[in-house]
Amino acid sequence: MATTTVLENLRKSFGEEEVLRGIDLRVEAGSFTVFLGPSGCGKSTTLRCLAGLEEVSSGRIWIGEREVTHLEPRARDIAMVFQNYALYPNMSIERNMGFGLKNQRVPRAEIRRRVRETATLLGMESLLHRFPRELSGGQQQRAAIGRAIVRNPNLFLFDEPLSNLDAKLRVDTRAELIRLHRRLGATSVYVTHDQEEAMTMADRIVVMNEGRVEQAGTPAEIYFQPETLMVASFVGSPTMNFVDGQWCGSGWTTPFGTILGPPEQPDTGSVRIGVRPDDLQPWKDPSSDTPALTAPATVELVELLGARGIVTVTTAAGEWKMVVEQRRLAGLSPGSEIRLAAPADRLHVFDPVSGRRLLGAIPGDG
Amino acid sequence: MNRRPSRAARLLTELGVTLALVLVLFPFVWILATSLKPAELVADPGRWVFAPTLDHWREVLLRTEVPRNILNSLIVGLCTVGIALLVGCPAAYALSRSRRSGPLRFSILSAEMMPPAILILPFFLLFYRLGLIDSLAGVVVTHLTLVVPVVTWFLIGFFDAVPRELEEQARIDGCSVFGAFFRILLPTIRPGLGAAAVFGFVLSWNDLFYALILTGGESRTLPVAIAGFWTFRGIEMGKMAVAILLAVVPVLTLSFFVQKHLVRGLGGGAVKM
Repeated sequence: MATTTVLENLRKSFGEEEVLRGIDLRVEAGSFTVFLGPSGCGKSTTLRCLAGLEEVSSGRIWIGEREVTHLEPRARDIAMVFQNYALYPNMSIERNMGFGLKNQRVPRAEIRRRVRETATLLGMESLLHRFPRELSGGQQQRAAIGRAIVRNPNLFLFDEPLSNLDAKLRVDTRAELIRLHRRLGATSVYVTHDQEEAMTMADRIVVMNEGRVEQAGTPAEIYFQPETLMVASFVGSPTMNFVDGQWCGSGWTTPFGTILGPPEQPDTGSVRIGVRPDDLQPWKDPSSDTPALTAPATVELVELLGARGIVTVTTAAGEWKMVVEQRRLAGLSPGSEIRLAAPADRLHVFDPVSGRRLLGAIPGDG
Repeated sequence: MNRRPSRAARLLTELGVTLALVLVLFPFVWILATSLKPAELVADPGRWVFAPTLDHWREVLLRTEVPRNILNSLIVGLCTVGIALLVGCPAAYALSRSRRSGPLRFSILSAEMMPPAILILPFFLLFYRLGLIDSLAGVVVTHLTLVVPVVTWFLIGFFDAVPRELEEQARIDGCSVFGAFFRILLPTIRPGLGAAAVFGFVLSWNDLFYALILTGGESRTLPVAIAGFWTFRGIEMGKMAVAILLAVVPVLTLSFFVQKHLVRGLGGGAVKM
């Protein structure tokens, strides 16, 4: 059963320290929502408040029609998967999975049937009689996910469930979780600091910073239309390049020349302009139309990743990175002088004081 | 670099261990020999060749109060350990889970550092008023001062090793805080409980001081009885040897089963795992 979850002006303090400073959020029924942010941003605390493991300082939480703000975790009809799996070491996997149902006084035969069914879904029937210590990390992870699924809860909570797995298993499990989510259609909230996980899994990403929601939106919105400097610099790898500028009538004066602004742009004062490494290219043809941003640069380092390479350059604004297709890497060797270029529609313009977006970057298709 | 120890070093180690073993075990061999010596040879400690006899054993088990004393010690030990676990478990849990329990952890052992001689006087006066002199209940109470801190200290380390998420998962899975404690946490640290129980039992079982002062006649415990073989007519060495062996063997057997956990528990909350 999919349920909408609503957080209303959620605040939480540990002693003097305020870790959540007013979270307002709506998690749509059936969505896969990912809380993303640097460590200490409050994403795990928010999840724990949702679970009822932390008492909120103020604010309210609804799961479906019910306000659960002050309910015990067990009364919230939720399931959670922890980073360290938290399987009960003294129980077999079958009993681990059936424990929640047993507490709900589901008849034994029914528990057995549902546990078997879930185990089949996850392809782990043969592990049911084993104990957690006899399973590998990946299998334990599956068991923990199975234990959550078998309850058929209103809301699934995941607290960095993949970070203890090795890289390959992480990618596989990620895909499997998404398949499971599509199949079960249950509302899920997932916490991670890994932006790749967030981008690939989420219907909706909630970027958090210092106890506040910086931006909530689809992965594409977060990536192509970051609302704040923090989101712009946190999401994307390699990170966005920035240069400070001052409005001069037709554009912004920067350390490496003028960046052309849109026609009829009113005065913006001083700004910070961001451009993603993917949107920068070496500019080789001075006869074509002049792009909005052009900058002289010296190549420092070329890292070939296969089909693409990451080129680190020094500009008047400091060290920038750009991502260049392998076939266009020719001529870019350390020490060579080049010009960088980026089109107007790929520039993100922010107010350097408030950090808010002023204009720029159209929601794109990449 | 981790080199394999040389042959000489290994030989030296083995020699050291053997020496230590001999030093520790020789008295027991000697006591065993004494318990089997005929009465007239008991006073001759150097005598190793004799015809063994079970006279002392028969005497002690059939014609003294020692079986009764063993029962007393057993009752006191079990009651002490039972209460100590009941009290120590929640205390250790609280100390383990508290966010600022650092110095408090160690302070739990401070009761242990007080000499029993300081406590015995108030205890004696108190028990005198309450009519608990010469009763097992009184001994149990005094033994709790020895055993509760140790059991608590012992269990802190085991609770520390259980991730918090386990209880949280249990609470999400439908347990109350207490339910999570009893149904998930306690079963998880079962080896620790066993080891703590054995260790606490040994402390109580071996105590002479409190029992000597508070008991007499019917309520004497085994260590008191052992000391009782030192009479004004001299030491009844043969019987004493038997009683000592009766005291040591159960303890040794119990410890053997939990030795692995004993070592871990002694580290207590000192080493965060």
